[in-house]
Amino acid sequence: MRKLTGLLLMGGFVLYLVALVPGMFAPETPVSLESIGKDIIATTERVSGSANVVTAIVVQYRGLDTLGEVTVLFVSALGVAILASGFKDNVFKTMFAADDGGFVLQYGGRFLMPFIVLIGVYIIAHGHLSPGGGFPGGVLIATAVFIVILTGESVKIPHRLLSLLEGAAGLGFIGLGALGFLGADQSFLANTLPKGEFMTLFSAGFIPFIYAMVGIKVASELTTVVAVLTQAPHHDTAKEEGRP
Amino acid sequence: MVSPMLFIIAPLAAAFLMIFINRRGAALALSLLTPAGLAILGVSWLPATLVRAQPIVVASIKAPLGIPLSLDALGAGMAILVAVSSVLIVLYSSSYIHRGHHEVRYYAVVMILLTSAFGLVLTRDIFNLFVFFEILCISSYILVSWEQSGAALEASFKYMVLGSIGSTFLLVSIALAYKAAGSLAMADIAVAFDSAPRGYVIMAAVTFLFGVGVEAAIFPVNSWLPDAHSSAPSSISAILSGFVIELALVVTFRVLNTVFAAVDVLPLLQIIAIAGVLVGEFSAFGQKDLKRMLAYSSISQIGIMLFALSLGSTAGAQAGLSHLLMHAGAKSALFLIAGYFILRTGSRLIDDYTGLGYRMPVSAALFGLAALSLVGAPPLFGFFTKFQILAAAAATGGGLAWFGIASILSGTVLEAVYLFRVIRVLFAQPAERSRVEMDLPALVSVALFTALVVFGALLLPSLSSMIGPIADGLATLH
Repeated sequence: MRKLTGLLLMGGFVLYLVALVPGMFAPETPVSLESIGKDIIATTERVSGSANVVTAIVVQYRGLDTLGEVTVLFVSALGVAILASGFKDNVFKTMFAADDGGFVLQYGGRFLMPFIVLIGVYIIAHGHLSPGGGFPGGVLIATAVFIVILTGESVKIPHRLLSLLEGAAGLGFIGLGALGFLGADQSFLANTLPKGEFMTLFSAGFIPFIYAMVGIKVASELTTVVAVLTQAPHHDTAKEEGRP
Repeated sequence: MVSPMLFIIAPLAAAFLMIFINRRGAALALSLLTPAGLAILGVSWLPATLVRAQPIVVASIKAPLGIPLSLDALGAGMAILVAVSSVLIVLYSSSYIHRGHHEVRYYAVVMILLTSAFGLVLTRDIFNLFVFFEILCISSYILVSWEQSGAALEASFKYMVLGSIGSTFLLVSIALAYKAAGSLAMADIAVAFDSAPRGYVIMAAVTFLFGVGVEAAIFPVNSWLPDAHSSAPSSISAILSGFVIELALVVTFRVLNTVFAAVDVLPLLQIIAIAGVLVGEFSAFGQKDLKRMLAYSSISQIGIMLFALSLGSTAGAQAGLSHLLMHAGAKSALFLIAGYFILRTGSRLIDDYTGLGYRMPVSAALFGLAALSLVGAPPLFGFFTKFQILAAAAATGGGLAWFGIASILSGTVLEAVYLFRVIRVLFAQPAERSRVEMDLPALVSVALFTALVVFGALLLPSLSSMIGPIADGLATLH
């Protein structure tokens, strides 16, 4: 039975791939598909002021999807935090707490941390110029914390500060988007800030600011996830469970 | 007028603000006021949308380069339903949800669920639909697993596995559509599919149906529902059964009916719907657990709605939407009351509720009214909506329609038997008579839901002038 299901799924997948081969079964690639790409490249500079077309698409052309993706991450991180608080036993905790990484690793980790954060900030700040942006930059910053935890150092994570940052960055994203309501079209996420000089650091209107918000949000959320997974069950929750 | 974008922004901002403030009072106030404000916004937009749909441009970029959104009469109607239901359910939650350090997070996740619900009805872009669909799924998984009991975690995990498979199917369908149209705007895809090979469109339509169908609890892909709806907190069961599956159903149907209009999926939908009615009612009949029984009943009610919508006639669509309104009120009330039955007796089994009607007379009476309306007893709202559906099916004619009528009628008999069984147990001779009525906020919330199903029939005349444009939303993409 299981083999049959597997075979059917494989068959379906092959059929799907075949369907996407041009001319086999699928309609030919329509003209509009080519024109959309060209239209976006042609209008990027005027509409967004961003030298990086991918960033322009992510933050401006499909900014609502990006807000959605930020929300997906936010709600997933919330879910992990809620689930982790219910852990009775945690493999991650024993894995990290059991052995101290040793002097060399700990100092190496601490030494690396500021550099990784710096690269993360650089990637976020240059999202509108070069590949990168808020998501990878934010992940890098969270990695810096993770490396320190990996070395076996006991890190005190400021949970309240992280949730403050998380909430503030989310509100900031929405606030920057709402600036669009002040523009001529009164349209959410319209880029109404001054565009600056093309191809320079201070350009692209609100795109760097949005990416900064995304960066802060991703960094604080992933740090929270890493922290709750490696440190759960918390002492305070353990105490609460002990209560009658 | 205030931009309809607020439907998406406001609950999201409220969720972020709650996490920022992290106080129970603030979270509760925000989650009551936001949907209340949005209900007013929905009502203020309704007259304009009844005349014509109101397009929304995001980021000053029009489709196909940007993401098109639009508020039509159907969207406004669904938004009002979602907003009002969530105000009442949050009110109920304020006394029902266990106070603890996660309470703020509970309200934040509910607000995010609302964002996705509003987004789903507003969007006219198929990838944006996917994004909101994902948010809806993830927030539902979290809320289902809320109590973190073994059953809740298992249900949530099952739901997550099925939901993820559904998302993959949906993504496959989107890829196929994008390949054919070169645009993600639903209107462009509909045009492209008109000239695309039939087999290709059928493949895209079927993957779409079974992708989104998971969330809409359409018959073969709804095996997660009984577990999830029964082991979630009752306020969440009410949200999921009260408007989430209905909303997903409406959105699924609208996309199938417009974007995939090149293939006639209606007969397939009718067969699925009838199967859902029969399977749901027969499964509910055998249940001993009250919330599981209600969950199976939701499967059959979704089947009834889908059957009405897929009749393909105007009368059918209108009747289906009226029934949706009735079911939202009745099922929310039933789940919310069941929540307090469980809270007061500590048991999910119907047999343990012997004589509870004497200890919680108001709750039991409201339960009875909502159950009667669900079955379709005159003169309650449910009688009229079910009657309209049967009349619309009879007017359509054809073997499938008559088979559907027979299934709904026999399903109604079963439904009456199992719901009356519950009522009989509630009013059996009690062992003790101490009063354990619901808390006041919960009672108010449930009473308002029940008022909808009791007096809903009085709304029908005024609804009849609106239902036309609202039902048109199922067949147009404006």
